[in-house]
Amino acid sequence: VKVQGFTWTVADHDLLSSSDAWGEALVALGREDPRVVTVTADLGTTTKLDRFRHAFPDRHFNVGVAEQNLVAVAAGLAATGLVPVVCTYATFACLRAAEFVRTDVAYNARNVKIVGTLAGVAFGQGGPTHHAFEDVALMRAIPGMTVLAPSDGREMAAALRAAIAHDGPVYVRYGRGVEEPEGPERPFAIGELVTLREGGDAAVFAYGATVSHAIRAAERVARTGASVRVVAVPTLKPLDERGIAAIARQTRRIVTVEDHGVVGGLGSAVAEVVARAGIAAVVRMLGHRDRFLPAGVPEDLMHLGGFDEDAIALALAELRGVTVPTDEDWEDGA
Amino acid sequence: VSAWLRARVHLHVVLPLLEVVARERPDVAARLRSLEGRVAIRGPAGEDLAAAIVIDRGSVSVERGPRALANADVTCAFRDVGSLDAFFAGRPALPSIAPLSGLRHPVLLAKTAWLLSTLRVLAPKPAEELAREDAAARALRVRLVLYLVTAAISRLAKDGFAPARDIAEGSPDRVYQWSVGESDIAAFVRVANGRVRAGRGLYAHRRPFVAFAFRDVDAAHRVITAQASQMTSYSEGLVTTSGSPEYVRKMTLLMQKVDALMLEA
Repeated sequence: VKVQGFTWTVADHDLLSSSDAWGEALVALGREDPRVVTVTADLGTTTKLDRFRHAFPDRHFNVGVAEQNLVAVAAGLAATGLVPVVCTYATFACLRAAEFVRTDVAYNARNVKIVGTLAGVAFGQGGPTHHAFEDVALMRAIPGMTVLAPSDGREMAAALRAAIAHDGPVYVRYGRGVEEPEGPERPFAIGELVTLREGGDAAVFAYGATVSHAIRAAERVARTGASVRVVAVPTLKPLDERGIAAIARQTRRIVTVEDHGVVGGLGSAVAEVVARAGIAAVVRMLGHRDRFLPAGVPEDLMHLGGFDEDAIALALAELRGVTVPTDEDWEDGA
Repeated sequence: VSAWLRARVHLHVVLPLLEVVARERPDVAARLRSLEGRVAIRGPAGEDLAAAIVIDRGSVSVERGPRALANADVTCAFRDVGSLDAFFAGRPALPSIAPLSGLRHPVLLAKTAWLLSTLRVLAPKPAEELAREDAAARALRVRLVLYLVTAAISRLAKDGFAPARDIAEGSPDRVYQWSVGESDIAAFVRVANGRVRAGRGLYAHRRPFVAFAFRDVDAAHRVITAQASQMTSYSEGLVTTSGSPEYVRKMTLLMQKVDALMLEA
């Protein structure tokens, strides 16, 4: 996917072809399923819901700049048997409306699909008020919530289809709309890991915008003779714990990377799996540390925050020097 | 300051393109086949403006810096930076040439002047003339422009041109790549923590941070000769960009600033 523009910024979403993919997908899903409706908090254009509004004007609702109301209205619509797709910036969907997501949607098991766009530092220029680095932690913690995190517009379209097919509340975390797709187009299955690159010396688990960075870092490290497996984790909950454990046993050296806080995100989730399974492995967690990042261009913030290609490559290089005990033989000796 | 920066670009970036011209155009190499010699070009003392064109039986190389002045057969000296700048801009400004050396090497001098004139391939042309350029001429123009743009950005950053420095200062290790379809025409700028480097071809050690990919030579030719507007270039797919949109824009603006600086002459 190429950016079809020269001088555009993140505000000009209509011109960014990657994010077009899911806007189009939503319209197609609306045609297939008359239960699908959309709800926005006055961000129809930037979140791509306007396409749906133009196609189905009587199935689109704008509640104004009122995110708590946004989620509550969606929960009510779901109670009538509709399948509402709610879309706003990730920080507003998950922080401002958190209690409504928990109580109105999850506690009542409403079939609402919450799409949080511009997650992480995807809207870096908006500053910390618009950076979403706690959303995964919050959504993972809510019982019954499925959490998806596609890595590009193409996968986003597939994830949305899977979310609507799934009966129950789903949070879909999406980035900026210019993420480079990695690997061939593939179907989206909730709960599955996606191995994008094989390797046995270490494994990188990533989701969202960091997937491309992980691939790039693995390519660089490969020049030094190391083979690094890169695994995309487009489903953060329910997590494929068995798959992660198997990879941890094979590689013993793990890097997790996310445009999200290391507390409660993928890093925490992988570490929990490794600890629960009693696997001897080193886990390096890259992501937002305990601080607010300033306003800036997303790529610069990812570098500043230490969760970009360079940081992953460095972590992989450091891990090569770590000696990890690999004895997992629990059979009684003769 | 602008004249000095331009003079540095002319000596360090434009003159080395003669090597490419001699390599890509058999007629140029043929015309220099029987010739050997070294022609030095220098600006006023203390300005670090020196280069030499070395012709060696059909091949051309360009050496840069004060050491290039040694053992020159002919030295063309400019009394001030402005006249050197004006000479390369095509305005009336002739260098002084030691009379004896000029008399001793009239053929070398004449052929060097002719060789310099081959760089007119870079000059703007009316649309009807551009349309008459054959495939080889179009490819040469595209190749030269990409080499020129990338090397000029690097040179200007090293020499303190603020807009060029800005893209390198404090930057992580990043590569800006230009490429042309399936051809071997490609060039890049690599920046890292204030350092900057231009190179030809595809950067091999990491994927580009920002990439400008022209569809093919004809598409690149249309874009760089301004036969296609910026918007047309994108809407028709003559060029596609990938990577950070903000830095695509920054690099585009930088190219425009470099262009403006060079056209001030």
